[in-house]
Amino acid sequence: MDSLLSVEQVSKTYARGEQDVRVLTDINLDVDAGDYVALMGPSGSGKTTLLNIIGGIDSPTSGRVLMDGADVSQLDDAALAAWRTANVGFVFQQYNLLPVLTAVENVELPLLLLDMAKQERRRRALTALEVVGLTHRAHHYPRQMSGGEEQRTSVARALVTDPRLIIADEPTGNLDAVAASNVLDLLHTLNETFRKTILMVTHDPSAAGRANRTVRLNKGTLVADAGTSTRRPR
Amino acid sequence: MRFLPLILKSIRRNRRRTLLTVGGIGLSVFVIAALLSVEAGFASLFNSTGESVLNVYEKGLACPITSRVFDSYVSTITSVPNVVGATGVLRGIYSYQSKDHLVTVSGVDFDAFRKLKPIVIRDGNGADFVARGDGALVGRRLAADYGWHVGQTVSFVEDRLTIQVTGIFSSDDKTYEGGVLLHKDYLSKIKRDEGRSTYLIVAVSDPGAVASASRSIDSALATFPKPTTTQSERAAKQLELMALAEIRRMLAVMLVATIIVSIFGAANSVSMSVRDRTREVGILRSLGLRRSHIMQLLIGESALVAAIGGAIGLAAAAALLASAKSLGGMIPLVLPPAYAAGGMGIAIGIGVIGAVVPSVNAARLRVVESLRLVD
Repeated sequence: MDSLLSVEQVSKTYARGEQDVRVLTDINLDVDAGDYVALMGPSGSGKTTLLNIIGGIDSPTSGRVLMDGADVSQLDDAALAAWRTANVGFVFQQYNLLPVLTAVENVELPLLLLDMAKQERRRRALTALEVVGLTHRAHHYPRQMSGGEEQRTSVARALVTDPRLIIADEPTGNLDAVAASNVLDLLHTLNETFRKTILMVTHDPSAAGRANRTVRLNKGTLVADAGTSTRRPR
Repeated sequence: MRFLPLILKSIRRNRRRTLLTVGGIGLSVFVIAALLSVEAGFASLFNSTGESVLNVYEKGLACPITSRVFDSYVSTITSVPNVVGATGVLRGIYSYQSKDHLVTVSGVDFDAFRKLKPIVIRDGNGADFVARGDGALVGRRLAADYGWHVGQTVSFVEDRLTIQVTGIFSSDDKTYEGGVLLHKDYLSKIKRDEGRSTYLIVAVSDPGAVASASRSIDSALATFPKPTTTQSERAAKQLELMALAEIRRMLAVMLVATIIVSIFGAANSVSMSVRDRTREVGILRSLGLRRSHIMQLLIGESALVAAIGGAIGLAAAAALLASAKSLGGMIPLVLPPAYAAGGMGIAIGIGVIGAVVPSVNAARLRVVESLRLVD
């Protein structure tokens, strides 16, 4: 399989007061197109930071992230924003829907940045909601939906621009068992049926079990990698 | 424009804050519009004064209304080179019904006056005016303000002055269009001011001769019982309105203060809004919105709220101006479309300027800081 993502010697240091705190140290990771990777590790191990750097919403202190061989870390703010729209869909633990917008309007949001007619935007947003089984909730506001429905809306929003990479940061962390299972089923379908590459941070071993590969972090270093992907950390 | 639906939804999010911001900016624009209308009134008065017309006042008086010059000066003045005509105007300020409604009354020699200040009688006729000693020609702006009509008897508070409206006139000179013309003999008797005028109107043959004619008139009358100060009508108008000019300056200071306070108000509103929505900014950035998009959203939101406030303020000002009619019985209060557009521009400017700093700060936040994503 072709490598979609390459993380090369990525380190991240935060300044906290007068102290520098090293969150990631020399991370190397290859992710193939169509991989479903679970990132696990204790709190503070750097998994979310790694996910953010891969998703282009944070930058490495050193090292680089390549997508299809192109160095994403070198892009300026505008180019990186455009890259995110085209290539990455985010699913957050807190759902992160805009409360003033309905489900379909939330899903439409990323499409505002594309040169697309209003009718086409709406059609694609409704299709994405159909994929996650929420057509009947299209015109409901987040406050009128359950947590599971909000998260599925957030998955639809991540999906609507047809990105190759979906980044999910503890997507089931706030959900009950049934809703969590639905969301995991959905992510599995996106990976299996739509061939989306998925990177998911989770604390839940059963959630990680849905992925075909599990990468473990501890104290900012990659300590284990197990699964069926053709590539291994270097 | 693509973000307009999001902006519209966002301003409805915190209705109380939006209403307070709209109210604050509306109040500011109301004050601004009131000031602009006074400015427009001043401008219309100055612009309607004649280029080759002089006014002769009593020398050394701070208040032109108390000036008195003798009508007999006319013969001396008409002998000055380049002078083609002169006549006296006896001016009085009278209260109609209450002290809140001041009316400027000018006693004139009708035939001489209309040669120097052409007027057009729109309703009634000049013959009726000439025939009645207490006849009055009312400027059309004043007639419209108070609903006066031909045939009406109007009484004023002071001097038991009563007039009979015999005509409604228009004039290029807005000073007279906002007042009443009476026979000078009639007004002189009532004011016990016979043989005297508040000022003399003098026409010269050439605008280039205004300065030399002014000097010649004052020189010719220097040894008379009441020496004179002669100046162009425009300069005389400025002198007459000096007391109001002070108010105008105060209003200008208030205007600047109002704008500054409004900018801070808008900035505060946007700052609070941004603070409440830091996470949302992060969400939008994670979806691919650039920093410039975030600024467009926040500044657009502030500008829209300011525009709504501006529209309300302008509407309120227009309603007030429609009822106030004039300032001190002299300055017409109107809000020309260009000035209203200026008021609207100031409102939107307040919204934009107030939003710039908080918007830049919000746009500069790193996405992970906005989302508080740290592990």
